Amino acid sequence: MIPYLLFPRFFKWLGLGLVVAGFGTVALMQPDVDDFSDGLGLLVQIMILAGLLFISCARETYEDEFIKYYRLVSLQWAVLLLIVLRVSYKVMAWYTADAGWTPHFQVNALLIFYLAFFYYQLHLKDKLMNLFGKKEDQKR
Amino acid sequence: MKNSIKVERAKKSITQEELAQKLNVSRQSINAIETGKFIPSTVLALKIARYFKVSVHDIFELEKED
Repeated sequence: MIPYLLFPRFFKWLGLGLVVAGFGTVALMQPDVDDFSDGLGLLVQIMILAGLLFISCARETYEDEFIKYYRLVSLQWAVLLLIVLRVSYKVMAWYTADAGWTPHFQVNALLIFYLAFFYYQLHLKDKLMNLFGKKEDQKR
Repeated sequence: MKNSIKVERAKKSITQEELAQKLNVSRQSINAIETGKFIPSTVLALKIARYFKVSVHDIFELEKED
């Protein structure tokens, strides 16, 4: 990811607020998000998409070359996973002749996969390594 | 590529976190470089060498497969 396309740090919290508000609206008011004539549904879609984009593209405290490397790897995994899932769904739709298998997830899913990979590598990987014995030296 | 950042850190008695702050990078970066998972850029390698007051060759060393 090109560093100059990143948003300031506070966009992470702004994005989180938008995503929570978006899902909250869906849970409370249940708008039809697939119906573009439904203004509220469209607003919810925009809130969630913009929120995910803001979280994904917000700067980290130290936006250094290693974080950039994590961003690139996470994006590659996210794209790969999205393609594999979409192709799998399409194969299932063809195999079962059931249109219910048609994949509806697109950009939102890509951003969610990206965030999952990125934050796993950034915050969880070391902790899990430590938990399962591969203790990494972080002290002296 | 091998490196002796851990040794240099031990000589100075500083943690990865402290070194990261001095170099203005993340702690994860220092950890990944130390464990050989990530090769730093020329700029960062020079900054590390400058911080420890040694040459880049004293810290980073090519291996046979490099």
